[in-house]
Amino acid sequence: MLWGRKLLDLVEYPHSEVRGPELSVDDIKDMIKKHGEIFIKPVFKGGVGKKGKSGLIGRAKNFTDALKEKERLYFAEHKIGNISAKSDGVTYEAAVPADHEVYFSISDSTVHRAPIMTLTHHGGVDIEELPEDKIAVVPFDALTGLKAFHVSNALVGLGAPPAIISPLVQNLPKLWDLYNNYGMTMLELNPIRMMPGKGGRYTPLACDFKCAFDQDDPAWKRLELPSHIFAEDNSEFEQEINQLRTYQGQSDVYVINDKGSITAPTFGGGANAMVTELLGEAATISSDFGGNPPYEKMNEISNITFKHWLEQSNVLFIIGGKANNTDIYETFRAIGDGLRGFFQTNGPKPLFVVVGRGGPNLIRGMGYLRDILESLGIPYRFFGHDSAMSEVINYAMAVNTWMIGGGKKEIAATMNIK
Amino acid sequence: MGEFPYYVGINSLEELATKDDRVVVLNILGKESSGVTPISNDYSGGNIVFGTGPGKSGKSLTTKNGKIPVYNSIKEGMAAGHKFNTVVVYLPPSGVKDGIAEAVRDNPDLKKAIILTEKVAVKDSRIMRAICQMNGVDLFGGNCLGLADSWNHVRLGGALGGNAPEESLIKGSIALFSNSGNFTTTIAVYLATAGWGTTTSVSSGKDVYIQYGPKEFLYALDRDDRSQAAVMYSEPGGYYEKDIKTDKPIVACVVGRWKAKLSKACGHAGSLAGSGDDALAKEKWFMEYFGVDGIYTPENPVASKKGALVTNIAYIPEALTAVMKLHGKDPDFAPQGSLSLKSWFGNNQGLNLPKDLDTPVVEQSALIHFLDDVFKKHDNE
Repeated sequence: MLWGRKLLDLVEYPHSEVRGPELSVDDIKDMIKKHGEIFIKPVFKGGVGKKGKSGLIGRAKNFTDALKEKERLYFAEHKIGNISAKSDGVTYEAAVPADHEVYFSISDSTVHRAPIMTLTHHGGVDIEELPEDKIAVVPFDALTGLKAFHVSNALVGLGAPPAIISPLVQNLPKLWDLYNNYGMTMLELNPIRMMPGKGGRYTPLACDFKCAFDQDDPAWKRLELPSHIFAEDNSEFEQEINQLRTYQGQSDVYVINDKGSITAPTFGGGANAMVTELLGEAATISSDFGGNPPYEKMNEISNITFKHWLEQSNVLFIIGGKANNTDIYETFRAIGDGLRGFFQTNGPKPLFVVVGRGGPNLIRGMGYLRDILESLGIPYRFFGHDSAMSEVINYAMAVNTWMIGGGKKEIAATMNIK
Repeated sequence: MGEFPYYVGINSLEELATKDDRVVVLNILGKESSGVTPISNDYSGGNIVFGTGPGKSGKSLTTKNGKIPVYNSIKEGMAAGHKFNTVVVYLPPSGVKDGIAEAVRDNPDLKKAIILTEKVAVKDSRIMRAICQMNGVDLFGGNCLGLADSWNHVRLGGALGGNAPEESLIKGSIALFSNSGNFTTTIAVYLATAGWGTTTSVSSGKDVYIQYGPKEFLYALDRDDRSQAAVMYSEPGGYYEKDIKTDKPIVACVVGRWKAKLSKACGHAGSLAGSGDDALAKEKWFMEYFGVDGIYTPENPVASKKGALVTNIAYIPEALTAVMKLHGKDPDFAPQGSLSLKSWFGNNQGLNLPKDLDTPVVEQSALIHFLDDVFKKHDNE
């Protein structure tokens, strides 16, 4: 909610009072006095699932409890599945007395292949735990967007209390503007607490906010959110590569194991999926550098990759299927020049190079890379597209095993590395 | 078409890429297009009627089948008397939506739109889908490599088969549908090693929106007499493969279990699972549909008449042969080549490598490929 409230303000959607980690002791006291109770929530970057169920939401009716919860949650660590997150600060959120809680989200559905609204007045719980007949899933037209009648029909269909329908019909369509105009792929409010006001009319206050942005849609940049929100757990390596992201050529990377010993520049989304799966924890990184990157970009990617990973690697494994349009000569020339530059700057390293590739200008590219490896004295094997990719991966794994078992020392000796 | 709750214009796979299709390429003189469009045009017997490029009217793209004229816009090309039913989009991401809108608006005869561009925003994808749905246009991609048909000798958009389509697009009885453009070609090459050729190949792309998905593909498969079976390559993310049905056998390949730990996409933009659409879930969908209790491997060849699931593309040919055997069907032709390790270049640098690593270098093969490549390059130039 720390950032969510600012986004909600853009479309004038009501929300609970939310204050950030900068809140002073006196401010905390004032907030408790004003609202009677406050929630203290850790600030994570990215989604971490259900905070409440994981004991990550503190509540306090007095100053002493508030400080205890602040201390407990300020740097809270949380693991969900394989993803770990660490909090950096807390928010203080006013408790909202409410008669009803509502769940609302907008996302793009691969079932309907259209944007959908998911809505229920049985909110405040895991949406997955509710039976289907208590949830309305409403696909709507991407060109005209979410309309008041979508909300009205859904709530009437669910049998929602009549008193909450009008305030929700009035406010929820505003969230389409937020979703559609700022490059979002998911927006979720859970719970929306229906706070009774004067005359008994409810105000639908957003008490938790989640969203995801489409990294291929520059619209979210208009929000001028601080870049550290998106840095998440990105390593320095990932951040450096991400800066090269343009539409000409892929540059997706993910650190698999920072203790890995096979570094595999991989070409193509399919190869990325398969190579990373089969290499497992032996891999330092997962990557996709396909899409016919120009020489300059591929060379820069190679330089960054080698700087971060070559020192610890036994095997440099350049792998992809039979390229349709990626110029193999350009990419291999860029990688080869990067490797030569690394050796010139850092001295020789005991390394084995394995290549599996096919595509335009293949032999010319292989020839260029071969000449560089010969000049550097690096042992190597190149396989074409007539060898199964999985067999080439197995070969690279076997080389890595041999390197760990003594091969690395043998190569170091032949390269006169002491 | 059929029971779909949305517009689908393709009834049979043989309608996807035909000799009658006439194509306009947007941004035809861009870097990607100028490299692959001439090969597509030549392979397809000259099916591209014109291209566009703002400010580039009067220029042309040279192919063996003659020069393809370039106009400033679709409107200008049509005013010159050209007619077409297919648009292929090579525009930068921010221009893709406008290109589709232009084609739909200016050409009432438009039936297919193929988007090659990658990194198209999700918002633009849903808007383009809505535009095409309203106007009766089948949309393919984005970030796909188009469509190809080995029987019709036609490829529309992209670069399936690379710079030598005949090498990979060998006429046979198997239809291909792949989330990976590269694997569409690679799987076709693998199939040939077991004697299977292809009918229609669909590179679907793997953005969040897959505009022409597995269900539409299987619907058209059932109505294509040439196709006896299909191979489908899928990655995590999306419910496209859930509750599929077809009258013909399928070999499905699902890859990407490791992606369950990703919180942002690495590789294909749409290859990012939510809570119920990761690789394991997709494996389960296929296994339940096939009625099998395991994944097909050479050691554990589990298959039914409905099909088999693999998680390694190298096992696709063998799994397909096993499934087709249950139907009493033999491969289309004698196996071509093998997938065993063949080292084209290598040097031990004086090391005494273990026997399994000291693979011999296949000099002759490399030389043949080298000459092949050189000649092709010469031809292209």
